[in-house]
Amino acid sequence: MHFAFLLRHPPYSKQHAREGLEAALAAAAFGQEVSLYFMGDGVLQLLPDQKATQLAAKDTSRMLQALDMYDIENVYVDRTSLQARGIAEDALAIKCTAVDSRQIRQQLATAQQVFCF
Amino acid sequence: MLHIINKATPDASLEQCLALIDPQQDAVLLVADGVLSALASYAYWPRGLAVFVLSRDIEARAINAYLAPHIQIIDDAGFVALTEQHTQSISW
Amino acid sequence: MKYALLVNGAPLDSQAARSALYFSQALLAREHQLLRVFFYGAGVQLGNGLQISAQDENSLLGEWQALALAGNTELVLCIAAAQRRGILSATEAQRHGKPPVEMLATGFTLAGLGTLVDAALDVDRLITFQG
Repeated sequence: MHFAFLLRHPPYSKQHAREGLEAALAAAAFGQEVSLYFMGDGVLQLLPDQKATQLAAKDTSRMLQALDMYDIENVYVDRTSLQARGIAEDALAIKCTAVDSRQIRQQLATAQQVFCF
Repeated sequence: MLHIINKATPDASLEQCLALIDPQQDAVLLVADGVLSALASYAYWPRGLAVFVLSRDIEARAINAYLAPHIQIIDDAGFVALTEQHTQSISW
Repeated sequence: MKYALLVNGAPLDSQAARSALYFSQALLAREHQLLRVFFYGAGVQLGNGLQISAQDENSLLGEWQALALAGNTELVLCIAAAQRRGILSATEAQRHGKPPVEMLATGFTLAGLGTLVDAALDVDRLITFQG
């Protein structure tokens, strides 16, 4: 089955980013097709060179490096959210496909479950 | 798609939900503090979009008189009925 | 239809568990099956059996326990999210070198995220209640 995860929170101050990624990794580990959509402040999870040690926090950007291992290939980022924050598409820590709202809507229609974190 | 919103405006959830909505097919259900975005003065939800509020949430907050006229009030059974009708849902 | 719920919001800091409870009661009234409620993130705090509600307030926990009996519904706390927030069974507490205090409320179990994935595969509808 295809599970879509909308990741909408910035890393570190709350647990949403971490717990959203953990749920996505679990779904992939249980053999489900997983797609990730970073949007809103969630796009900040994608910035390279995060120093989670500054906050003694779990480094969620390292979890992103594990996506390959879990066979999560469908990683998308909302183009409008990047533009609103002045972040270039090629400045991200992992390879992801920039999409607009219309594309996200179309792709979500094929998901059996949409999880929002 | 049924979009369930539990946060008061202004919140990123509302913008993100609106960006993804297909007004022809989707419905919005406002629950908990989400009902506050149904106030008429905000004019937040476009006409023609099916927007529902949970009656216990608006009665608890005494905002019945302030709702935009096209907002539809439903009870818990109505909430369940919406999830029966829509095979997919997103809780923002 | 078969349903499962995912509750992410903390019981006192959000309305998630209360909204989900009323939804669950309405589900059962409409003859649906509610297989499992998975509590994740701050939502796991509902399963803290040591919480005390004021005498003039309804016990949200008690109402959930009654619903689980009525609907033959599993109430599952994500074990990792619960541990991080200090909600452990006596056995788990001992395993982690803590005093063997039973924090887990009656009727709740601790399990991994796999049980959420399983639920999502088993049911016709999975509805999330956010915090």
